[in-house]
Amino acid sequence: MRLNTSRISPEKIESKEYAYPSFNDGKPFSEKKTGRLPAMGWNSWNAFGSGNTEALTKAMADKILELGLDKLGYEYLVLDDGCYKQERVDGKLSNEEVKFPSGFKALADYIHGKGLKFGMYNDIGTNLCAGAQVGTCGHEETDAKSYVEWGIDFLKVDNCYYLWDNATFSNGENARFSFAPDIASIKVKGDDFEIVKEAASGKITGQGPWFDGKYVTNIGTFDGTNTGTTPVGERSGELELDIKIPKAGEYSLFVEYRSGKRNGCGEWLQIALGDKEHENRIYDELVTSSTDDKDSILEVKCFLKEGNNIIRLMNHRRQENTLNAYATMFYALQNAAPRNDIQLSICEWGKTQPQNWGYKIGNSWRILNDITFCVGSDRDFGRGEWDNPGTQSIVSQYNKAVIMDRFAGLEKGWNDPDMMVIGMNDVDETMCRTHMSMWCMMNSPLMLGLDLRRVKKDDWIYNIIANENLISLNQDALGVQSRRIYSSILENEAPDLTYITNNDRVDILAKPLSNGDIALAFYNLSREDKPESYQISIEEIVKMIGEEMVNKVDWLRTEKFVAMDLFNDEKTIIDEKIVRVDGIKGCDNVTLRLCIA
Amino acid sequence: MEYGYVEKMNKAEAAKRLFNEMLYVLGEEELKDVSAASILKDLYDCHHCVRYIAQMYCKGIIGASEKNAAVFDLNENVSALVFKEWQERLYNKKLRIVPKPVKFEGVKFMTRSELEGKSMVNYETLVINLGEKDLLLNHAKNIKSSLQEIKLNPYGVSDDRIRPVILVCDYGIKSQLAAGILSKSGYRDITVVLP
Repeated sequence: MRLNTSRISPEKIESKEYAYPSFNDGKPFSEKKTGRLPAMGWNSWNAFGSGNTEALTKAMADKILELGLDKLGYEYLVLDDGCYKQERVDGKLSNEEVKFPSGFKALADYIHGKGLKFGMYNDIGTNLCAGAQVGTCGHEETDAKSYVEWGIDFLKVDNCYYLWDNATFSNGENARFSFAPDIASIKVKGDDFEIVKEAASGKITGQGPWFDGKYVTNIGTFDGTNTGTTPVGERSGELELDIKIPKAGEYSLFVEYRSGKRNGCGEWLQIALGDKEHENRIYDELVTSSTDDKDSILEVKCFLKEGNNIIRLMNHRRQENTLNAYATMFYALQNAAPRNDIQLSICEWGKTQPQNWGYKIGNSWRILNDITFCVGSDRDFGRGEWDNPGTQSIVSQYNKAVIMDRFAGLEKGWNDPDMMVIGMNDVDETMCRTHMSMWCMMNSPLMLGLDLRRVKKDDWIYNIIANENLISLNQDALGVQSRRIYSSILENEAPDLTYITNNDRVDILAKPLSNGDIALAFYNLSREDKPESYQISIEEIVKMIGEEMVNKVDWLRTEKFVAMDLFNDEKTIIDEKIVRVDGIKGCDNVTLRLCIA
Repeated sequence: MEYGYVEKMNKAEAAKRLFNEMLYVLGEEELKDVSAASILKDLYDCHHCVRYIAQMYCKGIIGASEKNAAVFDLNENVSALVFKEWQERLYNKKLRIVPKPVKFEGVKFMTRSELEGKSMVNYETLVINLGEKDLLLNHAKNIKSSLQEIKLNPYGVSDDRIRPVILVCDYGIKSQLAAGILSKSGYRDITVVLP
């Protein structure tokens, strides 16, 4: 097991555990602790950006206790970017001395002394996103020892300046590692046998690659950082060719290609024989760069069996390299403190579709770029948004997370639609209430991102973030993320799987709870009021989430149940098998807990 | 708070420092509407810098790359002289060059025969076929979709809202409806192909 990643080249994939075919096996790495509910706490980034200080962090810890938030489950205080010196000192991470004069161990002790837990931040690249040259790449073993010495309980790891992909601040030409070259044809040659297959005659499997008239291009993994693409289904594609071989033996495989260093056309090619479940990779590295826009030829020798041979041309390195990087940090922490409780928060913004592989070593994985780009500072609460075509809004994050429930769970981990923007400017009380309900229903990590000094007990912000009814949904022991069971904009499409970014609609979500209750939420994603009635039957609910429920038969049989509004505690007895809401204001929600009477 | 010029500064860093100076020294308010910055293809490349870049660009203090008006070029090195010029614009509003938002000229219409046989450039153009009779243009990205798919996920068509989009269907109706959805979603170069 390597304890440090390389800064020279992407690692060889030596274990099948790190390779793409294993992503669907549902098996976390054996050292990973499972059974954890979503983390709750506070993170410095939305509140203070890289202007966070030791004094501010202590003030937040004090406020958490003053407001009693610790008793409600908010326990992690996470220092995000901006806390380290710009460069390593003797090869180690070091505190920025003006902002964090006492050092991280002292700060951790202060936070632990309050009964809270301490989190920090790093990056799998060479630099942190704010620029400090202290990215953990190549230093995982040293950094893990530092983190354990300081006593961290949580580590958020970002993806800027990552060497083997065109991540934020990385060289754009790093795309060459994440995409195969454009493929024109393959030729298989042996003794007395030769066959040429044009790329067009092959089969494109998965999603992404397309045929441009001569080449199959875009062989790689979708970039999930932005709002355009769904997280569901195959997020990568391959070119598969079937070759009939007359006699088993050694052959030369010639691949005609055109390489590039840009999105969609790269220089790293993987060639596998056989289908995904039984593959034998015969090539997994860079190809020689094509020059002057001319095609190049790669020759690989291989053994082919008599009869049909599947040859797959692909590149899954975007996911495999990133898993390797995060796993290296994970194992470095394991090595420094075996069987530790440190939560690993994967923050590569959904770029590499972490919902496919993140569960192997992480406790949560970001699904998109940031929820706000207008973070606050000591004199400024920053700004959040309700909706935006980009990722920077409550609804953008919701739209993606809401159909990712099947990727999450107690044995896996949690989808992370980013820290909350409750308490930032430009998001009003209605929006914040809906935001809190959404994050609780979707089993998101509940990370507060505001300057807590603006909160007083029983003010509107407090009443939202301290809503025990909602928090209990997020922390319910059954550990099942809600499922969208209806959307008013859909015709025949599946509400739980269809990616929707048109916000002129009302969604209904259902979540089974450990005591047999059901949480049911109605969300108006639009800014316009919706005066219509929206209703859902118990039968429809059970049809959509029944396999996760502990008592679905009881629900199908019951003639009467109680619906409690989770904002005002009002209870209504319902003696028909339908839950109906008459009109929902813009950006508003109705969130109910249903229990059998 | 960091202000002023430093050696080896890039444009993103310059935007951040001038933004800080604007906000905390001059007390000038941020613009609420920074939609003009959406033309910049690299606006979101640095998620720390989006706010600074959008404000400096929309206020006309720092312009787009000289080589490409749709790119900010946030990693470009900035000389002390250039930074001074931007600082002067910060302090003297008359010197600012406020960008004009990319105007939406309205949906364009062309006939199939006008387009057939035409070759597009560099696969920049997206041809979306919504009907049975597909139109395939050379050197364009030709895809199949449906009106319902566009209605559900208008942002899935392209991250780049300036990218030319050509909508094709059998009778022109679906294309026009799709054009309406896309124009409301911020796409700026839309052509409907009439039968």
